[in-house]
Amino acid sequence: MATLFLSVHEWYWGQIQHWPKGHDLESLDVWADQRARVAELSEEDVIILGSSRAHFNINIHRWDSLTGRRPLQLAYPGSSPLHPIEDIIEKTDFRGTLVIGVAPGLFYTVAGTWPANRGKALVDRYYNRTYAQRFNQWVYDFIDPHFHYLNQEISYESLIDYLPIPNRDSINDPDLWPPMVRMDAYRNIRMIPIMENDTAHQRKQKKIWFNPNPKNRAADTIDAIMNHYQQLFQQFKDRGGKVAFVNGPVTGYYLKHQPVLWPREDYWDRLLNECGCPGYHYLDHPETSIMEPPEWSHLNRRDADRFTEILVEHLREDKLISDAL
Amino acid sequence: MLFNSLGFFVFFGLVLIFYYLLPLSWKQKKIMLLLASYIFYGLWNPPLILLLWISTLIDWTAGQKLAKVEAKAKRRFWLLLSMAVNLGFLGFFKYGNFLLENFQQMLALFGQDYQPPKWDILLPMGISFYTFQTMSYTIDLYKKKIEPARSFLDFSLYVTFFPQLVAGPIVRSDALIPQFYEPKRASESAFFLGFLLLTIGLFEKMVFADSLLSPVADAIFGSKEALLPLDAWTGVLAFSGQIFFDFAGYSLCAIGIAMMLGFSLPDNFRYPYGSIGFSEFWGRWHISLSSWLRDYLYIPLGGNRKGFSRTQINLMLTMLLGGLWHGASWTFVVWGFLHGSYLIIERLVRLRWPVKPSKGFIQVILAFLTFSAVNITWVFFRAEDFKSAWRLLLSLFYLGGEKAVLTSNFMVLTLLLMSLVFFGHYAMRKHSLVQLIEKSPRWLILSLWGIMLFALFTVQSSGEQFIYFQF
Repeated sequence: MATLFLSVHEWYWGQIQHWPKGHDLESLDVWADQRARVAELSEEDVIILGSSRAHFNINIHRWDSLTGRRPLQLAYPGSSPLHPIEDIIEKTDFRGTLVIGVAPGLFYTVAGTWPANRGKALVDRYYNRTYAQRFNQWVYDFIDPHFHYLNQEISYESLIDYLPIPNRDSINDPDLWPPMVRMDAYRNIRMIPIMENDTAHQRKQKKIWFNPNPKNRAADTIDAIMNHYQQLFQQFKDRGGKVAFVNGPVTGYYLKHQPVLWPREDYWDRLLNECGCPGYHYLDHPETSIMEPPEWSHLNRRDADRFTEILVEHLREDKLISDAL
Repeated sequence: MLFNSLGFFVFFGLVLIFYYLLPLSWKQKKIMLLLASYIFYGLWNPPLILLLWISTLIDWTAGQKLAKVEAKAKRRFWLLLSMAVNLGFLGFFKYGNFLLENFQQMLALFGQDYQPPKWDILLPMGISFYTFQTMSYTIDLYKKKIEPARSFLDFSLYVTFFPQLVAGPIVRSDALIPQFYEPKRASESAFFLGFLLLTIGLFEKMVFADSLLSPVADAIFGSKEALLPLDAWTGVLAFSGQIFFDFAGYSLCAIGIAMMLGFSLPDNFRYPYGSIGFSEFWGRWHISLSSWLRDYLYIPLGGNRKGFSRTQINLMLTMLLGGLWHGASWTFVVWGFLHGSYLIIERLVRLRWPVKPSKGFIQVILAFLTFSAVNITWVFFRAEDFKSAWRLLLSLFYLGGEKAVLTSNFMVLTLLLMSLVFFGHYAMRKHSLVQLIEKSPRWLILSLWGIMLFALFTVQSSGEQFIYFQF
C-alpha cells in the first residue's frame, strides 16, 4: 500500500505539478559538502558567492567546458554572502578568485539581519554538523536525485499552506512557491521548462517577488557595510586573491525599483571603487542588457549559458581566471 | 544519530544483519551491540564517549565493591563516589553556566561586581538520562535491592544500549541487565510489532510534532508581541502536542527497536492528556523519570511518612528538582513549582472531598480541567524567559494582545488534532496501544501501517532533533 501511494504521489508531483528531481535547493548540507572542498582548491580556482542570481545565472558546467575548471558554487538563494565571504577570507587560505554576485537588497546587509542570518546558517552548518549529519547526507545523496517528492518545498509543513481555508483579514495568505529549478550535487542550477515557458507559472513567482513597499534597509548603514567589505577584500587581495563582482539581469518589478533604491553610482560604482575590484554589470554589455529573466530575476537556461560565456570572457580578458592546460 | 534519519536506517539495517544473519555467539552479539551503541552516540560528538566510559567504569567498580563490602562506611564511600561522578558530570555540563550566572547575580545583590569566565560548555546528548540510569544501579546495590551485573560487558551495554541511550526510557538495572544474560531473538510477531511501534513513533514525531505542531508553537512562542487569545491558546496547545508526540514518539521508537532485537523496555507514556488529576498525570507522563524521582528522591526525603506538612514539602522539593532536571533555567523550576502546587492542591481537595466522581461527563470535565492546567505549565517550560512567558499568559487570559499570527490552515489542523488527542487519550485511559493493535482486525492495522509508512516517506520533515535530547 505504501509503495502504491508513493508511486501515485511521485507521479503527481512530477508529472502534474512539475516538481523536478534533484538535490534540495536550500539544503544546508549540500552547501556544506561544497564548502568542504575549499581546502582542495588552488589559486587557479574560482568560488562563486552571492544569492540566487549568482546561483541561477552562472552555469558552472558550461564554465568548466570553457575553461577546464569548474568553479565552486557557494551562492545561496535569499541570503547575503556576508558571512560566507568572511568565512572564506578569514578562515581559509584560499587564494584564487572570488566571483561575487551583487543582488543589492541582499548583498548590502549587516550582520543580524535575515539575509545575513541565512548566510550565517550555512557557515554554522559547515562548522557544526555532526558525523551523523554527514553520514545522513551521504546516504541522502544516493536517493535525492531520483525522486520528485523529496523536494523540501513540498514537505508536509509546506503543503499545509495549500489547504483552501480562508485567513483572517490581518493574516496574509502564505506564499506558494512554484517549482523553478533543478539543482545537481555540485549545486548547479537549471531553470525547469515550465518556468521558462508557462506565463501562468511565471506569474505565480512574480506575485511572490512583488512587494508593494520595497525598501532599502541598508541606507543608514551603507558606510559601515562598504567599509567592512573593503577591509575583507583588501585582506584577501593582500594574500594574492582576486575578486570580481557580478550584477545580473533583471526586468519588471526589479528593473523599476532597483535603480531607485540602490542608485548605481552610490552602490555599485562605490563598491567597485572602494574595494578596488572589477565588476561586471549586465547593463554594460549589449547582449546581457537585453536578457529578460522569465520571472523578473533569474535567467532561463539559454541565457544563463550565454551569461556564463560572457562572464568568462570578461574574467579572462581581465586575467582574473586562466584556462586549465 | 537520530531515529528519524536515513542514516539511522542504514545503521540499524546493518545491526540487524549482524544480529540475526551472521553466525555470532551471544557474547559476540552483545559486543557488536555495544560497539554499535558507541557508534550511534559517537557519530554526534566522538570525544563525549569518554564521559560514557568514565560513568560506566566508575559505576561498575562501585557496584562490584557495593556487592562485596559490608562495612557501612566503605559502602557509603562507594555510593557517594558514584553519585559524585554522575552528579558532577550533570552539574558541570548541564548546570555549570547556570550556577555561575546565579552566583554572579547573587554577588551583585551585595554590590560585588564579579565577571565570571565565559564557559563554552557543550551539553552531552542524553547525559541526564544515562547518569540517572547508572545512579539507580549503584543506589539499588547500596540498598541491597538488586544483584550486581554478572559481567562488565552486560553492565556496559546497560549504560549504553542505543535504543534508549539518549532520551530514555530510564530503565532500572533489574529490568534490563538480566535480559542480557540469555540470548535474545525476536519472534516474527514481536519483530513486526516492534517495527510497527517504530513506525508509529516516527509518524508521531515527523508528521504531527515536526510538520504541524512545531511551526505553530515556534510562531507563538517566538512572537515579541502580546497575541489574541485564540492564537495564544492554539500555540500553547501546539507545544503541548509537540512535546508529547516528540517524546512519546521517541519512547515508542526505542521500545520498538529494542523489541525488534528481542528486548523489552518499559512504557514511558500512557495517554497522559486523558488524566483526571495531576497525580494520575504523573503516573502517565514520562513514567520512567517520575518513578525514578519517586523512588530515589521523594521516598528517601520521607515521602508521606513524616506527617502532612512534610509530605507537601517533599512533594514540592521533588517537583522543583524534577523541573530543574529538564533544563538549567528558572523557568523550568517554575514549571516544576506549578506541578508541585497542583499536586498539593489536589491532595487537599481529595482530603476535603474524598468521593471519586463516577459519572462520565464529570470525569471528562475533570480530565479537561487537568489538561488545561497542564497546558498552562507548558508556557514556562517552552518560553525563552519569564518576560515571554508572562506576555503569553496575559494573552491566554484576554489581558491585552490583539495580534494575530497563525494562518487558518495551521490553526484549524492544530485545534482538530489536539481535540483528537484529548478525547483519544481519555478514551484510551484503561487500554494500551499494544492491546489495541492486537485486538484490531489485521486488515485495518496493515492499512494504517501502509498509510503511516507512506507518510514517513513523503513527509520531508525538517525537525532535526528530539526535544528531550537537550535534557
